Amino acid sequence: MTALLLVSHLDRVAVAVRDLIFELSGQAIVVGAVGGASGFGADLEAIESEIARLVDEGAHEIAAIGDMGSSMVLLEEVAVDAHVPILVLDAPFLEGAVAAAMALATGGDALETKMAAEEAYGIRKR
Amino acid sequence: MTEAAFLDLWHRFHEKVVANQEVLNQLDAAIGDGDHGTNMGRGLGRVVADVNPAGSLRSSCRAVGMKLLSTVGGASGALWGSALVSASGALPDAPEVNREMALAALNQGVGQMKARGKADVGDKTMMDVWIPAVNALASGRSLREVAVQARTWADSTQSLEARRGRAAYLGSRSIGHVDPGSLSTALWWEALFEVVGS
Repeated sequence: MTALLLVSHLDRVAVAVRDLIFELSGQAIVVGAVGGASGFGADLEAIESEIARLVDEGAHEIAAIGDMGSSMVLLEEVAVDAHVPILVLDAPFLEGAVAAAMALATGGDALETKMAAEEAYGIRKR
Repeated sequence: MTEAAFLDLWHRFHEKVVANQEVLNQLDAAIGDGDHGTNMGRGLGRVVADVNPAGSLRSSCRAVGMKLLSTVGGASGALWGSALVSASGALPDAPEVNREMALAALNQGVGQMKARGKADVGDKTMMDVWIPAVNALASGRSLREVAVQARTWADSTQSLEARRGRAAYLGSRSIGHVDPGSLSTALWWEALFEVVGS
Protein backbone atom coordinates (compact mmCIF):
# COMPACT_ATOMS: atom_id res chain seq x y z
CA MET A 1 0.00 0.00 0.00
CA THR A 2 1.15 3.54 -0.73
CA ALA A 3 0.91 5.95 2.20
CA LEU A 4 0.94 9.73 2.27
CA LEU A 5 3.09 11.61 4.76
CA LEU A 6 2.43 15.26 5.65
CA VAL A 7 5.27 17.14 7.37
CA SER A 8 4.72 20.64 8.70
CA HIS A 9 6.65 22.92 11.05
CA LEU A 10 3.60 22.74 13.30
CA ASP A 11 1.99 19.39 14.20
CA ARG A 12 -1.49 20.94 14.34
CA VAL A 13 -1.18 22.05 10.70
CA ALA A 14 -0.24 18.56 9.51
CA VAL A 15 -3.01 16.94 11.57
CA ALA A 16 -5.60 19.47 10.43
CA VAL A 17 -4.71 18.98 6.77
CA ARG A 18 -5.06 15.23 7.30
CA ASP A 19 -8.51 15.76 8.87
CA LEU A 20 -9.50 17.88 5.88
CA ILE A 21 -8.39 15.40 3.23
CA PHE A 22 -10.10 12.52 5.06
CA GLU A 23 -13.33 14.48 4.62
CA LEU A 24 -12.70 14.80 0.89
CA SER A 25 -11.26 11.40 0.02
CA GLY A 26 -12.63 9.13 2.74
CA GLN A 27 -10.57 7.45 5.41
CA ALA A 28 -9.57 4.37 3.41
CA ILE A 29 -6.13 5.88 2.72
CA VAL A 30 -3.19 5.82 5.15
CA VAL A 31 -1.86 9.27 6.02
CA GLY A 32 0.91 10.20 8.42
CA ALA A 33 0.97 13.70 9.92
CA VAL A 34 3.92 15.11 11.82
CA GLY A 35 5.49 18.39 12.83
CA GLY A 36 7.42 20.26 15.47
CA ALA A 37 7.42 17.56 18.16
CA SER A 38 9.30 19.88 20.53
CA GLY A 39 7.40 23.00 19.55
CA PHE A 40 7.88 24.76 16.23
CA GLY A 41 10.11 23.40 13.46
CA ALA A 42 10.68 20.32 11.38
CA ASP A 43 11.83 17.43 13.55
CA LEU A 44 14.04 14.65 12.20
CA GLU A 45 13.26 12.06 14.86
CA ALA A 46 9.53 12.72 14.68
CA ILE A 47 9.61 12.26 10.90
CA GLU A 48 11.53 9.01 11.24
CA SER A 49 9.15 7.59 13.84
CA GLU A 50 6.07 8.54 11.77
CA ILE A 51 7.62 6.76 8.76
CA ALA A 52 8.19 3.68 10.96
CA ARG A 53 4.54 3.82 12.03
CA LEU A 54 3.37 3.99 8.39
CA VAL A 55 5.57 1.01 7.52
CA ASP A 56 4.10 -0.89 10.49
CA GLU A 57 0.66 -0.15 9.06
CA GLY A 58 1.71 -1.82 5.83
CA ALA A 59 3.11 0.98 3.67
CA HIS A 60 5.61 -0.32 1.11
CA GLU A 61 6.15 3.13 -0.38
CA ILE A 62 5.47 6.66 0.85
CA ALA A 63 4.63 9.87 -0.96
CA ALA A 64 5.64 12.80 1.26
CA ILE A 65 4.82 16.51 1.23
CA GLY A 66 6.60 19.11 3.38
CA ASP A 67 5.27 22.59 4.05
CA MET A 68 8.50 24.50 3.33
CA GLY A 69 12.25 24.78 3.91
CA SER A 70 13.62 22.34 6.45
CA SER A 71 10.68 19.92 6.26
CA MET A 72 11.57 19.36 2.58
CA VAL A 73 15.30 19.13 3.28
CA LEU A 74 14.80 16.66 6.14
CA LEU A 75 12.39 14.52 4.08
CA GLU A 76 14.93 14.31 1.27
CA GLU A 77 17.63 13.41 3.79
CA VAL A 78 15.52 10.69 5.45
CA ALA A 79 14.58 9.30 2.01
CA VAL A 80 18.23 8.44 1.33
CA ASP A 81 18.49 5.76 4.03
CA ALA A 82 14.83 4.76 4.47
CA HIS A 83 13.76 1.09 4.38
CA VAL A 84 10.93 1.85 1.96
CA PRO A 85 11.00 4.18 -1.07
CA ILE A 86 10.02 7.72 -0.10
CA LEU A 87 9.01 10.02 -2.91
CA VAL A 88 9.29 13.66 -1.84
CA LEU A 89 6.71 15.74 -3.70
CA ASP A 90 7.20 19.33 -4.80
CA ALA A 91 3.62 20.36 -4.20
CA PRO A 92 1.60 22.99 -2.32
CA PHE A 93 0.91 21.65 1.17
CA LEU A 94 -2.87 21.83 1.32
CA GLU A 95 -3.91 21.59 -2.31
CA GLY A 96 -1.16 19.06 -3.02
CA ALA A 97 -2.31 16.91 -0.11
CA VAL A 98 -5.88 17.00 -1.42
CA ALA A 99 -4.74 15.97 -4.92
CA ALA A 100 -2.50 13.26 -3.46
CA ALA A 101 -5.34 11.89 -1.34
CA MET A 102 -7.66 11.75 -4.35
CA ALA A 103 -5.01 9.88 -6.33
CA LEU A 104 -4.43 7.40 -3.50
CA ALA A 105 -8.14 6.91 -2.82
CA THR A 106 -8.62 5.89 -6.45
CA GLY A 107 -5.81 3.34 -6.34
CA GLY A 108 -2.87 5.46 -7.45
CA ASP A 109 0.71 4.50 -6.63
CA ALA A 110 3.40 6.88 -5.39
CA LEU A 111 4.29 8.09 -8.88
CA GLU A 112 0.67 8.83 -9.81
CA THR A 113 0.25 10.54 -6.45
CA LYS A 114 3.32 12.67 -7.15
CA MET A 115 2.01 13.72 -10.55
CA ALA A 116 -1.41 14.61 -9.16
CA ALA A 117 0.01 16.57 -6.22
CA GLU A 118 2.52 18.49 -8.30
CA GLU A 119 -0.14 19.41 -10.86
CA ALA A 120 -1.99 21.15 -8.02
CA TYR A 121 0.30 24.15 -8.56
CA GLY A 122 -1.42 24.70 -11.90
CA ILE A 123 -5.02 24.53 -10.75
CA ARG A 124 -6.49 28.01 -10.25
CA LYS A 125 -9.34 28.77 -7.90
CA ARG A 126 -10.74 31.50 -10.10
CA MET B 1 43.85 18.47 9.38
CA THR B 2 43.60 16.37 12.52
CA GLU B 3 40.39 15.25 14.17
CA ALA B 4 41.28 17.44 17.16
CA ALA B 5 41.53 20.48 14.84
CA PHE B 6 38.24 19.50 13.20
CA LEU B 7 36.46 19.43 16.56
CA ASP B 8 38.19 22.68 17.58
CA LEU B 9 36.73 24.23 14.40
CA TRP B 10 33.20 23.57 15.70
CA HIS B 11 34.16 24.91 19.12
CA ARG B 12 35.35 28.16 17.61
CA PHE B 13 32.43 28.37 15.20
CA HIS B 14 30.07 27.95 18.16
CA GLU B 15 31.86 30.74 20.06
CA LYS B 16 31.62 33.06 17.07
CA VAL B 17 27.94 32.35 16.51
CA VAL B 18 27.19 32.96 20.19
CA ALA B 19 29.25 36.19 20.14
CA ASN B 20 27.27 37.31 17.06
CA GLN B 21 23.93 35.84 18.15
CA GLU B 22 22.15 39.18 18.43
CA VAL B 23 23.44 40.40 15.07
CA LEU B 24 22.35 37.17 13.41
CA ASN B 25 18.94 37.32 15.09
CA GLN B 26 18.45 40.94 14.06
CA LEU B 27 19.36 40.21 10.44
CA ASP B 28 16.90 37.30 10.52
CA ALA B 29 14.23 39.47 12.14
CA ALA B 30 14.47 41.89 9.22
CA ILE B 31 13.22 39.14 6.90
CA GLY B 32 11.46 36.72 9.25
CA ASP B 33 11.21 35.33 12.74
CA GLY B 34 14.59 36.42 14.06
CA ASP B 35 15.97 33.15 15.41
CA HIS B 36 18.90 32.27 13.13
CA GLY B 37 21.52 33.14 15.75
CA THR B 38 19.62 31.38 18.54
CA ASN B 39 18.97 28.27 16.42
CA MET B 40 22.53 27.94 15.18
CA GLY B 41 23.90 28.67 18.64
CA ARG B 42 21.72 25.97 20.19
CA GLY B 43 22.61 23.34 17.57
CA LEU B 44 26.33 24.11 17.72
CA GLY B 45 26.16 24.06 21.51
CA ARG B 46 24.88 20.49 21.28
CA VAL B 47 27.68 19.63 18.85
CA VAL B 48 30.29 21.00 21.27
CA ALA B 49 28.72 19.20 24.23
CA ASP B 50 27.97 15.84 22.61
CA VAL B 51 30.41 15.10 19.79
CA ASN B 52 33.55 13.41 21.07
CA PRO B 53 36.69 12.29 19.23
CA ALA B 54 36.10 8.94 17.52
CA GLY B 55 39.56 8.39 16.06
CA SER B 56 37.93 8.87 12.67
CA LEU B 57 37.25 12.11 10.81
CA ARG B 58 34.57 10.33 8.83
CA SER B 59 32.74 9.39 12.04
CA SER B 60 33.12 12.72 13.78
CA CYS B 61 32.07 14.72 10.68
CA ARG B 62 29.00 12.53 10.33
CA ALA B 63 28.24 12.95 14.04
CA VAL B 64 28.41 16.75 13.75
CA GLY B 65 26.09 16.58 10.73
CA MET B 66 23.54 14.34 12.43
CA LYS B 67 23.55 16.56 15.50
CA LEU B 68 22.83 19.68 13.40
CA LEU B 69 20.15 17.83 11.39
CA SER B 70 18.29 16.94 14.55
CA THR B 71 18.78 20.05 16.68
CA VAL B 72 18.74 23.27 14.63
CA GLY B 73 15.14 23.10 13.34
CA GLY B 74 15.43 25.68 10.55
CA ALA B 75 16.34 25.07 6.92
CA SER B 76 19.90 26.24 7.45
CA GLY B 77 20.51 23.59 10.11
CA ALA B 78 19.05 20.88 7.91
CA LEU B 79 21.29 22.02 5.05
CA TRP B 80 24.42 22.21 7.24
CA GLY B 81 23.62 18.73 8.54
CA SER B 82 22.95 17.29 5.12
CA ALA B 83 26.20 18.77 3.78
CA LEU B 84 28.29 17.37 6.64
CA VAL B 85 26.79 13.90 6.44
CA SER B 86 27.53 13.90 2.73
CA ALA B 87 31.05 15.34 3.17
CA SER B 88 31.88 12.69 5.78
CA GLY B 89 31.76 10.06 3.04
CA ALA B 90 34.75 11.74 1.35
CA LEU B 91 36.79 11.83 4.58
CA PRO B 92 39.10 9.01 5.68
CA ASP B 93 38.19 6.61 8.48
CA ALA B 94 41.30 7.95 10.24
CA PRO B 95 42.17 10.76 12.67
CA GLU B 96 43.93 12.90 10.04
CA VAL B 97 43.22 14.12 6.51
CA ASN B 98 45.51 15.76 3.95
CA ARG B 99 44.65 19.03 2.24
CA GLU B 100 43.62 17.40 -1.02
CA MET B 101 41.10 15.06 0.59
CA ALA B 102 39.81 17.80 2.88
CA LEU B 103 39.13 19.98 -0.17
CA ALA B 104 37.36 17.09 -1.88
CA ALA B 105 35.15 16.61 1.19
CA LEU B 106 34.43 20.34 1.29
CA ASN B 107 33.40 20.29 -2.37
CA GLN B 108 31.22 17.26 -1.74
CA GLY B 109 29.46 19.03 1.14
CA VAL B 110 28.91 22.28 -0.74
CA GLY B 111 27.61 20.34 -3.75
CA GLN B 112 25.15 18.54 -1.50
CA MET B 113 24.01 21.80 0.10
CA LYS B 114 23.48 23.35 -3.33
CA ALA B 115 21.45 20.33 -4.49
CA ARG B 116 19.34 20.04 -1.31
CA GLY B 117 18.71 23.76 -0.99
CA LYS B 118 18.13 24.21 -4.74
CA ALA B 119 20.01 27.51 -4.41
CA ASP B 120 22.91 29.03 -6.33
CA VAL B 121 25.01 32.19 -6.31
CA GLY B 122 22.79 35.27 -6.46
CA ASP B 123 19.79 33.77 -4.63
CA LYS B 124 20.65 35.62 -1.37
CA THR B 125 21.47 32.54 0.68
CA MET B 126 24.55 31.05 2.30
CA MET B 127 25.50 29.69 -1.14
CA ASP B 128 26.61 33.27 -1.93
CA VAL B 129 29.52 32.56 0.43
CA TRP B 130 30.04 28.80 0.03
CA ILE B 131 30.35 28.70 -3.73
CA PRO B 132 32.83 31.57 -4.28
CA ALA B 133 34.82 30.27 -1.30
CA VAL B 134 35.34 26.76 -2.65
CA ASN B 135 35.97 28.17 -6.12
CA ALA B 136 38.64 30.51 -4.75
CA LEU B 137 40.36 27.65 -2.91
CA ALA B 138 40.23 25.49 -6.03
CA SER B 139 41.91 28.24 -8.03
CA GLY B 140 44.80 28.37 -5.56
CA ARG B 141 43.83 31.26 -3.28
CA SER B 142 44.94 30.95 0.34
CA LEU B 143 42.57 30.16 3.18
CA ARG B 144 43.50 33.54 4.70
CA GLU B 145 42.26 35.34 1.58
CA VAL B 146 39.07 33.29 1.53
CA ALA B 147 38.38 33.91 5.23
CA VAL B 148 38.73 37.67 4.70
CA GLN B 149 36.69 37.65 1.50
CA ALA B 150 33.91 35.60 3.11
CA ARG B 151 32.69 38.67 5.02
CA THR B 152 32.64 40.67 1.81
CA TRP B 153 30.66 37.98 0.01
CA ALA B 154 28.19 37.88 2.91
CA ASP B 155 27.86 41.70 2.92
CA SER B 156 27.21 41.67 -0.83
CA THR B 157 23.97 39.73 -0.26
CA GLN B 158 22.53 43.01 1.03
CA SER B 159 21.76 44.28 -2.46
CA LEU B 160 20.27 41.01 -3.67
CA GLU B 161 16.61 40.03 -3.89
CA ALA B 162 15.98 36.67 -2.21
CA ARG B 163 14.98 33.87 -4.57
CA ARG B 164 15.23 30.91 -2.17
CA GLY B 165 14.27 30.32 1.43
CA ARG B 166 11.63 32.06 3.50
CA ALA B 167 12.87 35.53 2.48
CA ALA B 168 11.90 34.78 -1.14
CA TYR B 169 8.28 35.40 -0.10
CA LEU B 170 9.27 39.03 0.52
CA GLY B 171 10.37 39.60 -3.08
CA SER B 172 11.95 43.02 -3.56
CA ARG B 173 11.34 43.87 0.10
CA SER B 174 14.22 41.51 0.95
CA ILE B 175 16.66 43.94 -0.70
CA GLY B 176 18.70 46.00 1.76
CA HIS B 177 19.32 43.29 4.37
CA VAL B 178 22.32 40.97 4.64
CA ASP B 179 21.29 37.31 4.55
CA PRO B 180 21.92 35.89 8.05
CA GLY B 181 22.91 32.46 6.70
CA SER B 182 25.64 34.01 4.59
CA LEU B 183 27.02 35.81 7.66
CA SER B 184 27.11 32.66 9.81
CA THR B 185 28.84 30.89 6.93
CA ALA B 186 31.47 33.66 6.85
CA LEU B 187 32.01 33.06 10.59
CA TRP B 188 32.66 29.37 9.82
CA TRP B 189 35.37 30.31 7.31
CA GLU B 190 36.97 32.62 9.88
CA ALA B 191 36.93 29.77 12.42
CA LEU B 192 38.46 27.40 9.88
CA PHE B 193 41.29 29.85 9.15
CA GLU B 194 41.98 30.25 12.88
CA VAL B 195 42.24 26.49 13.31
CA VAL B 196 44.13 25.51 10.17
CA GLY B 197 46.09 28.68 9.36
CA SER B 198 46.80 29.44 5.72
